[in-house]
Amino acid sequence: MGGGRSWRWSTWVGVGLLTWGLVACDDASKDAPGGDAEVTPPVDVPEAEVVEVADLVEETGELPPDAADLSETTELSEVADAADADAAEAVDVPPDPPCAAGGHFVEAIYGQVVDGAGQPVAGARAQPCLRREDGTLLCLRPEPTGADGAVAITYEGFCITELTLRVLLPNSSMSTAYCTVPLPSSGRQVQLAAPVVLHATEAPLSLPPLGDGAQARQVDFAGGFSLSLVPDQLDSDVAAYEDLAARRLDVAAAQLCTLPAGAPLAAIAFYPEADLLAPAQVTLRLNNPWGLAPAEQVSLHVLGGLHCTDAAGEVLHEGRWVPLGPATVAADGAAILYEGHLPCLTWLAITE
Amino acid sequence: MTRLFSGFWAGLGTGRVLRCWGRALWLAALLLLAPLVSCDEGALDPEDSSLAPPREGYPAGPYGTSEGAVMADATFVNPDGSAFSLRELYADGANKLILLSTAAGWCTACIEEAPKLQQWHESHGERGLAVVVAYFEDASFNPATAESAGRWQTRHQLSHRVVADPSFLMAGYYDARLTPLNMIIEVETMEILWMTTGWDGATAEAIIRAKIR
Repeated sequence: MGGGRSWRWSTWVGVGLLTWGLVACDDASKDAPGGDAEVTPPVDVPEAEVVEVADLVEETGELPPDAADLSETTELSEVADAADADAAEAVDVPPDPPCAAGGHFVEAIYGQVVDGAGQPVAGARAQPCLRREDGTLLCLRPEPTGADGAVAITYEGFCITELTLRVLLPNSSMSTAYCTVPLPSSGRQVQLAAPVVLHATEAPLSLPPLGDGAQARQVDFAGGFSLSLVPDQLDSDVAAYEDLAARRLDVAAAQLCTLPAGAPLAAIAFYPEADLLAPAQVTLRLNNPWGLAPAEQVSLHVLGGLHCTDAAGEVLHEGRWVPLGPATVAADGAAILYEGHLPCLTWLAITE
Repeated sequence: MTRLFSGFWAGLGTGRVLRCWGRALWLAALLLLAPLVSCDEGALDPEDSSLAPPREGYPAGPYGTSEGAVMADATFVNPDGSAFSLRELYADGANKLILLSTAAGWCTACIEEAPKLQQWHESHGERGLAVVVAYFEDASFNPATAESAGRWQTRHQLSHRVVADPSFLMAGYYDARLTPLNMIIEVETMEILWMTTGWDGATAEAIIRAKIR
């Protein structure tokens, strides 16, 4: 009998502890995010999706846009909607004046792509990347140009602070052009001031066989210039060392969208456009048709392009010229030499 | 109740009672433990991710392409040439969210985004975030291949999954003229929680942190 009595006691104790546990559990659930009994989520929304904006802010350290306007508790979709509100507003509201200072509402880009002879290029892609007011980048996927080389890109517009065009004829050895396009002070459309010119490049006069790709070698091009490089450092989606080609142009013929600082003397277009993996030390040797005096220095610039990174791994801005350093006229006055880092093969420019 | 406690104290000295009392305490402890375990199920404990059992099948339709819809299974190509389906991510019980992003070789915005995705993979991957980049075109606008997807992964030093989307399946989910797409999917239901074109790190981070605690 004593044992049975004790068993009943233990049952009472167990039940008591269980009750306490359930109460504690219930209290804990009230403290848990999404567990507040005061919050009644919509019938079709799982309770787990109800979060407090304050929690989001505390944990992310960032306040979702318009979060202050939200109630204390809200659904995730509402948080996201609130965050998108500014962008949606920019799309739905007429452009004057939805953009912040420095922003321009653009919804269409028009222009033309031609070759070095001024003939329209069919099948070209004029691919814009747009910097939005919040600093983020968005790239457009254009349709190929038709027989007239016309570029006509329309989209649901938004406010941008920067527009860069990358223009190429896919699967050809024509050079890729980059343009930083001025934004209109009024109106929603961008009309390129001049056609974008794609130049045919030329195969090298001599291209050493690949052999040991880690070894530097000199490649001689028509137009009186040579470049020593390491094939293994050539990083391109488009083509390989064996496809290397280039073209030297005087600046007027190059018809560049954007000119480098200083008085330009010449420009060189490369194919394929490629990143050169660091440490890419090259030697560029150019003839000197300008009669520059021995030891005189000119400046070498590279055009930022796709995947173009400098020695520190920093991305060079597409369409912007970046100074590389001085090139020096040799003692005999016949050649101009540059020895140093080259971030990528896109375009080079020599300026006084 | 008085009798109960007086009996308890009276019998406390006997060995039999002590054994019964010990059993009772064990019982009480077990009973106490049960609700604690069950009430903890509601929280997503990151430490438990790897212990989650696999899921079978795939959520039923109807499927859709907008926020709130269930995403249909889709098949892509791994860099090694093998097939990869969203079903695989669903089957892995450790996955709680999928961050699915599109990328192309010509897309400078995707290049800018790549390190951020890698960062999220490193910070949230073990807690249930599966980052997937669907690479759909190379720099010359050619359809992606297993090789070009692999090159993208290598070039940007990505340890999360990168797959080729040669037929650009993801174009059905957004205005494909604007790239990249970033989409967050809840794995348990394969519901599309959120989508945006371009980068909106603050909102994405808030959702990820709210869902993966």
